[in-house]
Amino acid sequence: MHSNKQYVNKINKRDSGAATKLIPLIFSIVVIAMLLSLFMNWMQTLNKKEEIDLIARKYLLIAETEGYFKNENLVTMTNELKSVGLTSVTYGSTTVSPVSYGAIITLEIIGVLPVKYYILDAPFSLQGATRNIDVYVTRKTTAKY
Amino acid sequence: MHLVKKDKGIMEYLFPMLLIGFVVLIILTLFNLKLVKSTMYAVEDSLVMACLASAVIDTNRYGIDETIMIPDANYAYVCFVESLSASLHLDNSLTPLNKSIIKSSITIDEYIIYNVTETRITEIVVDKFGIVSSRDVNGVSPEMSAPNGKPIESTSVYAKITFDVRNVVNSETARVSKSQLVDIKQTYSLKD
Repeated sequence: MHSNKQYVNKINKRDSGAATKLIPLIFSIVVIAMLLSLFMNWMQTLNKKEEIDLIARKYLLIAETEGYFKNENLVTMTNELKSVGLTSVTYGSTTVSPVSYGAIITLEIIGVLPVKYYILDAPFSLQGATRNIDVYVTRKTTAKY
Repeated sequence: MHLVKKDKGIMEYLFPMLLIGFVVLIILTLFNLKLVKSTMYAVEDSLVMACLASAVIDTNRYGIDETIMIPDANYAYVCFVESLSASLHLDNSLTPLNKSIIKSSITIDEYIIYNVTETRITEIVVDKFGIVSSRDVNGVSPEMSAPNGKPIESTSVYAKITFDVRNVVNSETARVSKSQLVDIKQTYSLKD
């Protein structure tokens, strides 16, 4: 027969695998951190695309009143696009010579947007990497000058 | 005295799983909200830009008596479609070329030009086949308004488009309409 004291001692004895109980919690924290990182990257990419659209709009309105995309405007637009993070910027079939009143003016921006993301290459080891997203923006309006 | 040892709790697995599920749900909802907001802004902006692009006025008439009029409604409609297609990356049937939450071709429900002079308003309704109707309203009536209820105060272009938007979270689609009235006004820059 065991005494009550022996039972209490047995219950109070620490389980040998107590640390393993924390594994699901630690795993969930790692997964949540990865999800949040992914979310932030999505948001960052969307915000950068919106910024690129705004720059395109701004210079399209300038070109609308000037009849075409002047070289100095293309240079400043390239600098603004680079400041957002866009690389390898080219202008495809952009209208670079004057057109008559009412004729179509085209803006075509082609570039690459590097986006950082994280991958789990080993347990509890996040590895940073970069993924290139192709960016293609076109806008058309009519010359009014 | 019998003390039964408690089983390993299911809660220690259930709680982290619920937590992960909750975070995934919040992230998807926020992402969906951002995507919808961003797309709607892009559509509205493209619609305004397309209306502005189609506002090709008669410069000769403007030079004579400063009247702003859009003389060629068919050309204006072509410019509108070209500008809208370029901004939203649409093909010839006005269907998005890239992956987008817009899940159908875009329908141009209404495209109306209001040519306003001192004495009359001419309302020209155009579709992809050409001018559908044209009517004159004598005198600039204060009650004259576009289909979205905004008053016609000067020469303007009104357009309404409709398309399906897909929800990222539950993949359901919803029919969305957007309309814009863009007016063309004289602006003077005063120099010293």
